[in-house]
Amino acid sequence: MLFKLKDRVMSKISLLIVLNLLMFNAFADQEITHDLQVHGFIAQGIIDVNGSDYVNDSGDISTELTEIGLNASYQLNSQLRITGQVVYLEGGNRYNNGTRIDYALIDWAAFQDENWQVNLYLGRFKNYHWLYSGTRDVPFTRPSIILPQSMYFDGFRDIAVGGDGGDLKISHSSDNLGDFDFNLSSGTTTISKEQTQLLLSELALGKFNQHSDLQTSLYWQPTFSSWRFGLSFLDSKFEYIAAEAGDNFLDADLRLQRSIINALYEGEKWEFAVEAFQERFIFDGFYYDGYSQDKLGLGYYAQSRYKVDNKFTLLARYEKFYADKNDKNGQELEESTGGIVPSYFGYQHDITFGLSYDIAQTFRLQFEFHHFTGTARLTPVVFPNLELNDSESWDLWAMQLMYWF
Amino acid sequence: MRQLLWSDGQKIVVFVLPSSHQLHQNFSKNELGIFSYKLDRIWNKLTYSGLGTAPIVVQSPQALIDAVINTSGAIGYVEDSADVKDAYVIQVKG
Repeated sequence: MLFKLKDRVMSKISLLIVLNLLMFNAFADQEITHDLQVHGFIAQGIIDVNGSDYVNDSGDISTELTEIGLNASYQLNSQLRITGQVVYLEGGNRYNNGTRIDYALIDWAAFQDENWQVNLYLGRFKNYHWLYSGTRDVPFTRPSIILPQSMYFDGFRDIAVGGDGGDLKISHSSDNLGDFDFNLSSGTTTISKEQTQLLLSELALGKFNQHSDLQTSLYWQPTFSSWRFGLSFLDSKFEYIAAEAGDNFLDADLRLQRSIINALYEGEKWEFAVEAFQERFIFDGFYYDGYSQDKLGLGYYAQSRYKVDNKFTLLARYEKFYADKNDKNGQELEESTGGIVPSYFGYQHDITFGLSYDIAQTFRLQFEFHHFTGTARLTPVVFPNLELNDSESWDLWAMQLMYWF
Repeated sequence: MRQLLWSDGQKIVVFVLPSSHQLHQNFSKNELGIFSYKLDRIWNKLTYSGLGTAPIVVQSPQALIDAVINTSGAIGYVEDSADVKDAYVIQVKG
């Protein structure tokens, strides 16, 4: 900030700086430190889904739209900081409900000069690679209450949200080229029984483990541009170990590889965001010895926001997802299961409209409506619930009140 | 935007006004060349994802001056007309 400011003409505003002045003046005893920072948020909403079990099995209006978080950050010295956040989430069938440690890490500012900054985060870190992954549970940082399910699939939330391990971040600022942010992370997630059954099937009694996870991303914002461009890759390996007695499934190996591109424009009134990905899903075993599946999924969304004034923001989004890009209409899926799984489990598209109103500086009301076609991003994924999801089209509306500090 | 330490290794403590405050909006748009809502997003991501810490928000221009004066290594912004003692005021020109 200090260096870029030097290039600009200052007309009516000046910088106010206190360096070590306090050591010499009469106010030294009153010096305040700001090494500890505490922040949090609380949000409660109502959500209604007609035509699927996305939130609940009954189809009734639900209050299972609660997000509460509290975090603290403590600066140990100029290079080391410790920080953590606890969240309580209630989302019905969307993900595993309850309290969890969202992140808990040591931040080592390993190197810094005028143009470079290197940080290493060790512990439980967040997924910093996608447009909204770092704060997907923090309501006021999201464009919508429900994020695009192609990219931010709720059934996969607990695994995609972060991991236990390390994240390396390298930032570079160039006066000519702009700002670059590179992230490389490796860390696994312990998968709960509930999460296992959400992803696979309620009949899966065994243990689902994440072997390894490697993710990387690179973002570039050209100098004085309102555009930001990103690339991201992930490679994640899992295993399913069937229960010794009574399990309905066999041991299995799963691998997920995803390539993502995104672009974000943030103007004074208009905002545009696009995120597109291709993912390879390899699945061996589980149903019977020798079963093997290797398919490429494809998803993207285009989103626009318009700031009507300082309080009102409108949202529109168009999203497509194909579980297998070589079977976009799901016909092969239906045929391969002898007609048991309908073709619409092979895709899920969404059209979203929303608005948010800032009641006060840190107090917001958000509303949105979704129309979905297809059911490929409902849980369980591997062994879908055909009884409750017997309709290709389904709708959702939600309203949420949020406060943060 | 990204520098965390002064050249002597001391941590930079940044104070700002609420993003709805006109002085903050003028400073971010005219001097930093970035809309204040975008600064909010960057700082919220730092604060709620563990990546870093955001500037400290104070409620009035006078509270900002007081906070900077009472904090070693602090920085903030003031209107040119502000009467400030016990702190360096730097007018940055091109």
